[in-house]
Amino acid sequence: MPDNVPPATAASEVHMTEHETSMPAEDVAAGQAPMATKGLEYAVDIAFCIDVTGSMSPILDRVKDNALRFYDDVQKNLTDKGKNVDELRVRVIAFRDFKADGAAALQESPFFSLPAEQGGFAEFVRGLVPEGGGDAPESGLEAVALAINSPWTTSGDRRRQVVVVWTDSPAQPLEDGSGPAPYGDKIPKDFSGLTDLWENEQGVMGASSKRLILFAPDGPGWTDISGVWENVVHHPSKAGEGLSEVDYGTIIDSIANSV
Amino acid sequence: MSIESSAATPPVTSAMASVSFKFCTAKVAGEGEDADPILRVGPDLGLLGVFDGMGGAGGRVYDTPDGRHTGAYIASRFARNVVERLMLELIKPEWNLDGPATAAELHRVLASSLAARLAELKAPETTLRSKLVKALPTTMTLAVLQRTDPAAGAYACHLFWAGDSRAYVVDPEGGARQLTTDDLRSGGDAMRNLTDDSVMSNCISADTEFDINHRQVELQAPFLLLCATDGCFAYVRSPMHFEQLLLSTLQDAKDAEAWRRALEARVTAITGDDAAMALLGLGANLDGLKKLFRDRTAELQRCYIDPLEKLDGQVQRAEQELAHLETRRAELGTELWGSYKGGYERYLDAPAPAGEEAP
Repeated sequence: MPDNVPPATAASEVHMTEHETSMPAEDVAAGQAPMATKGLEYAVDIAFCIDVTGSMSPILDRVKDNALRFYDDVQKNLTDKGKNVDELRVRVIAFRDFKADGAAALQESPFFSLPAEQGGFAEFVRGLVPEGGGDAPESGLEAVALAINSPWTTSGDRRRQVVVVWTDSPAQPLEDGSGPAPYGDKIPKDFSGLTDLWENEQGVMGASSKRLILFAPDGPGWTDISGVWENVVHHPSKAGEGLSEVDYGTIIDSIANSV
Repeated sequence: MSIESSAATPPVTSAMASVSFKFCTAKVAGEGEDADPILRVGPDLGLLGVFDGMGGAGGRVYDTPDGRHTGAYIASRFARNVVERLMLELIKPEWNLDGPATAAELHRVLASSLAARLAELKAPETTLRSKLVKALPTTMTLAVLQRTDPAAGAYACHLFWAGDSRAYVVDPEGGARQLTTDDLRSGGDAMRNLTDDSVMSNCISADTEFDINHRQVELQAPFLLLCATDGCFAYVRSPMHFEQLLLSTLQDAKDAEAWRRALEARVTAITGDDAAMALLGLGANLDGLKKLFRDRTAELQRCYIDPLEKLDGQVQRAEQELAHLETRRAELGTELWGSYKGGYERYLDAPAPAGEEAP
């Protein structure tokens, strides 16, 4: 028994017999790959919201690398636990500032099925250029709203739907008409509306399968989310700066280990 | 796949015959986050318990003298040992266990012990903010049996739990009954919880508030009492299939060890998680239990399993027919396009009229 509690020696032990352990029915050597789960299909969708304003210039390349690595780490975590991922898709919502950049404030990709469409995904991510945005704050909450409204998969017995945000700025408050016309019906009028969109158990994201990972500084929008919303992990930083490997592993486990 | 398991017939010190066993399997050898179950059996007392370290919430890795382990791995084992020790102090044959007071004591001891263990681990502070991430999180389901009327085979059964591990009683007339209510945000519907991997609403941990639930039920032997982590019951097609798993392996077993091995093998074959179970059958030996549960096993098969499997066969045939029709449709489309194409493209391949240059 590998923990530091002394063995039980109470008087009532004499009234009950403890079962000894014996050889198991079947064993797996340490390090041997676990047998895949039979009959269960796992589907994972990830939507990356990436701040591509000018202030991200010094760190955008690292964020791109992290995005390209992230889904791989989620998949590895699942397969290491003997869970084969039948469908893994990723999409990107690159955002700037609707007020400063107008229609150029958003670049959305469709979902890429991986590994088949790895090339398209990498090409989209590599093509992101840091520019515009004016002064902080940026339109991060609008990007989160669009990510929540993604066409999530309905296949698989067990699903995980993940939104990951990288930004170095606080979020512009949501207000009526904060997005251009094409996005108007997908972006709530205020933060309460966005909270309802996230917390809605009958909403577009599964009640239990959703996760929101924030690599964002403390400040308006992001601190409100991590203080109020369920199923959120927030690393307060400029787009993930200073994230330790231990905390990174904890984040990946929070996504993959409970599915 | 198993890491720890056992089956035995306890020393005969009373007239009440019994069968008991436990097992604990790990998806990844040496990294299982379920603890070895508690299983102690005596003439008037029984103690069963399972603990499932929560990998999603407790994925943080700590350095320990035994190597690097997740908080989930450490929590389940530590809580198991703390609880076993405490319960052996608390339960005595001649006492009626005070359930609410015991739940409060379990809470107090677990909270203080886990907080002390966390401090010992001297982990660097995390910068993460989340209601999802917890320090040393684990479920617990504990069943304490006290015989209240030896002549009548009556037992008081106290259940203590936090999280989604379960206790069940299975009786020859009514089949399986869940004794604990899942601490899940989505609620307690056992069928829905098979497909909806809901976030837990309550679990034991070192850094968050938690509750120890208590329920007392009266049981009449013969019955099967079991505690199981979700790796045992959350990967079957329905709650009925979990009962079938228990009873069909019982019917095929030649002794308790064979029953354990068969049940463990069936769970291992379907589960996507670590799995731990402690089971106690009271009121008959193995042959007696097989006879007592024979009719229920047949009824379960006839009324619940067979209709679903019959429909499965129909669905499979319909899917094959659909696939055949889709292939046929694609072939026919190609075939008909072949006969239509000549006329359709009549002007596309014709030479350009005199005086016009090809683009």
